[in-house]
Amino acid sequence: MAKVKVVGILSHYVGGRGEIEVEGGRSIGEILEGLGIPPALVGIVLLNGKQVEKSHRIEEGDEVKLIPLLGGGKL
Amino acid sequence: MNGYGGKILRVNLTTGQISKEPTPPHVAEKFLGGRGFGIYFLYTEVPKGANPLGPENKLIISSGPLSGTLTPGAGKMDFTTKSPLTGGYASASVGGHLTAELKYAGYDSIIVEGVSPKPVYLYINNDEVELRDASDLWGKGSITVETELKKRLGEEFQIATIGPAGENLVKYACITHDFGRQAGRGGVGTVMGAKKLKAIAVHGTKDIPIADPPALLRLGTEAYKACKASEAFEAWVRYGTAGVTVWSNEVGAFPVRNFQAGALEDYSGLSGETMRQRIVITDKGCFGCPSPCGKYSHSKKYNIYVEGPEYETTALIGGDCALVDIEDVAYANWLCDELGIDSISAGNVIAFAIECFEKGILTKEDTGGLELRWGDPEVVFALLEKIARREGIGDLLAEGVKYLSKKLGENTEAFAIHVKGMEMSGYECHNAPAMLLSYMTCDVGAHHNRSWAITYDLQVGRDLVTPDKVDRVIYLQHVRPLFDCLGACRLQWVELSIDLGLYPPILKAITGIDRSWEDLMKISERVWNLTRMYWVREIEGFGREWDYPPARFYKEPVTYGPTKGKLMNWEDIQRLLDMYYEKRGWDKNGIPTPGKLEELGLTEIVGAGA
Repeated sequence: MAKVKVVGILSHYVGGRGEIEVEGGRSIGEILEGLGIPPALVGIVLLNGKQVEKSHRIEEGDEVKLIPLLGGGKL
Repeated sequence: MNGYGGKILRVNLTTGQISKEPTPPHVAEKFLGGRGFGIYFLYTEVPKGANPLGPENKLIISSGPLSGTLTPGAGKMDFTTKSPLTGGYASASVGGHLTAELKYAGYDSIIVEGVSPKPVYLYINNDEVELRDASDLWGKGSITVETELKKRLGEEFQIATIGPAGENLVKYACITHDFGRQAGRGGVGTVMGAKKLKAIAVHGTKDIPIADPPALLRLGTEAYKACKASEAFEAWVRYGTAGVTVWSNEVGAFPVRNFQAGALEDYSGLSGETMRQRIVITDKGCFGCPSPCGKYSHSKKYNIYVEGPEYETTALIGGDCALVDIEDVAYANWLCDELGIDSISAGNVIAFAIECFEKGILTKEDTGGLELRWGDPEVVFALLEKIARREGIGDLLAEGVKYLSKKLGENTEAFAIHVKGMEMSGYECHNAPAMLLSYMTCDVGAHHNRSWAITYDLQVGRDLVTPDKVDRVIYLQHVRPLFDCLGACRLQWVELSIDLGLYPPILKAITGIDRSWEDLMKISERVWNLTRMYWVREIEGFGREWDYPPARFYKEPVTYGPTKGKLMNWEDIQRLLDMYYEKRGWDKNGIPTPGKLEELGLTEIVGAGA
């Protein structure tokens, strides 16, 4: 499994959960689709602390952080 | 007066006279500081119809009540003047350490008047203020001059300079400070150049009077903690604004090939992580910043050190000119810094020229044999040099895209990407109505920093043209510029999402004056309306048409990226303006009504003019 940390308003799309476990072997875009998080609202994706594109594939044991871009307001 | 340096420094370059006057409390009450002071002094002191490059124009440099205090990011300085690029209002801000130093020297604003007969720099060391000869600095680059002045005067001096572009009156010359930060837009550096003012050097050691120091210590510490506790802290410090590049391409907001496309085919060479791994050597923060978003970089390919590239430079010099290697963008960034050119306008101008060349409107005869091509870094470097020195085609390009399109004709106006004469910053908005409205109505021209509403478009639906989008734009146009009145950075709110409610108590602890958030927003609305009235006063026939976007956004669909095929339509643009004017209390031509001016306490100022 891989850990996905969902920050601020993005957590509204996953029932208010801040952290979710997902299966690896898929792209971040596919994971977002599965979780129902609109990709355009995810500003920065950190994979193990480094930014990646949404086409990037994650593996078992990875840690992903999804940060929204708001341009002001609550995360 | 608590929270203020207490004095306005007035420098007349024609006569050499230097005077100090108390900061007027009624101006501080109604306009706070920073860009509020800027528009007040511009409106009331610079005569109607002044030549932006003549002695009547003034350069007003202002800190704000938060500047230099224990508030996160309290290091923003505003430069206001009549713009040589647009003929209207210009206000550009810079971070770094200048604004704090100016307040420690005891000044809230410097008002620079007249034109010096020879190159000078302004030396300020607390009460000691002199104009010093700068003949030996004239012609030199911004970073070179900053380094030289620090050697001469001491590291403790904070320096703002212009480069050759400002001296040569390139219409979008910037002012550089802190080795690569800029008051970039609208030609504020051009005005310094016209005044033969090469640099400003400031050092101060005085205290700022604080109404309630224990409260400030407590509240300021709390605000710093909130910044560091932000979930976005790690990413913003690692990448700064460069962290936006990937998202911008993924959502089709990246300007590519003169705003024809919304993404590069391959943007991996420009991403924040590529930049971090290949060129960034350290983080660099401004005064009092808990989250240093500046990235100081070294390009091995070109052997230069540069702050950045920031997202905007990557967008306009990178995407818009189709450069795809971060080191090429970094070198162009360094050239812009040293030459003293706004990289946003420069990127637009070069992209416009390349498109004209592609269409056969400009030829090798015009360019001195240079073949203008997308994605060719040598073309970008060569044109930046030519622009800064006004050599060959550079003399024409130095005037900006609005002038260029008028000069070249042949329907080039449709793809001259500007509003009110100011080239557009880095957000493609064929399919982002709130962002397009932000650009259309921004008070300096097509700049994003007053309202960055594109994320709202994405949240509620990109195709929608609805009243809530207009509300959002107006809200942002009051919140974001309020930081420029306060003399502090907005990014702690914009990027780290700290609570805006932290600011009124901090301001009260500093000034002793109790103001609600609504009071502050009213001040910002007052400033916004006065900047609008400045356009009305200075531009004959100013009105609705001046808010129109370039035809490209409603006539030519996006050619590549996630929004391929999308475009705005003309009726929606008119609807946006109708809603916007009505909500602002302006008439259908976009002019503030007498009732709105009265409500904001502007009747007397506007009536008196200058």
